[in-house]
Amino acid sequence: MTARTYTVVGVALLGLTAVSYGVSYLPLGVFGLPVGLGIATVKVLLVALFFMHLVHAEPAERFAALVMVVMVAVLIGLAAADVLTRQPAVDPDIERAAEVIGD
Amino acid sequence: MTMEATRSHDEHFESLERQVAATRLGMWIFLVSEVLLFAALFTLYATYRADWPRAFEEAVGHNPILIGTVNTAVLIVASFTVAMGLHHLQHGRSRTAVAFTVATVGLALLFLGIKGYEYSIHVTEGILPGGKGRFFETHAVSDGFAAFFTLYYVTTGLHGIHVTVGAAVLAALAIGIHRGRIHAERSHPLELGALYWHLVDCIWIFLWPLYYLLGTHR
Repeated sequence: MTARTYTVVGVALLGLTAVSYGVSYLPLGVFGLPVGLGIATVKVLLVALFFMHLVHAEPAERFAALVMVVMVAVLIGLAAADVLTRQPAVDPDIERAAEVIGD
Repeated sequence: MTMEATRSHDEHFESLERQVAATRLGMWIFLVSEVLLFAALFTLYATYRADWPRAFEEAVGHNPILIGTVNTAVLIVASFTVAMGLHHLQHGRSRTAVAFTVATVGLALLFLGIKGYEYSIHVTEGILPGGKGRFFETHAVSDGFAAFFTLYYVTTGLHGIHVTVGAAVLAALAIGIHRGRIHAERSHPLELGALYWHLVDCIWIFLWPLYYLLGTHR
């Protein structure tokens, strides 16, 4: 990996930071979060592939990185899915009982 | 006679190259565990934000975006400098490597200084962890606002500890290069230290949009 590669990646990272900052002022609504995190993902990929040398690392190191991504995705994905799909708890038996009693 | 010819590897490795590769893999596995540590805090962020979307937007908007952005740039440049330091070390230019590594330590300290200044702004404002502080007594904000700032203190605090440890490690490595213990034929200590440092940068790259950008802009 040449000094030039590191410089290009470094400039790209700073450029993406500026883009992320600017885009955050746009009225993207619900797309703001995925766009912001999407840009962050690209930046982390650049750091991992080039600064951390994953492009020419041995398969074992790449596998460790892949496992990390999968595990984090499972953790955050399922936890968010849990919270986002919650509804107020209504037990149909208790509801029916309340109707019969006349509450 | 090069340094390489006099170095021997540990018995249970078939060669020095395999031993160095093993230490590098060991560092990667350690980095994975560090990511999962922060992932727990990011999970909390996701679940709290799902519960209090508006309060989080408002709280993010309350964070000083310029300070956070400057710190993001500082860490990116610091990743660049340590990568360049390793590059020069591996090409036999130890003096240049020391300069780049020391520059990285300097940027790390700059980051911590800016972070400390930012914390002082929050504390003066009366925003403390756990929803404590004058701000919460004088402003009618939801529990989500307090939850955001508690999580902010814990996550950036833990990250700050990692920056401090990284800076100390890199400083020790700079001394090691300067004294000739680390050089082109034995560069893996700096390589491992640099890997840890890049991780600290990666964590902040995700932290920055979540805590500074993705909210209401004043």
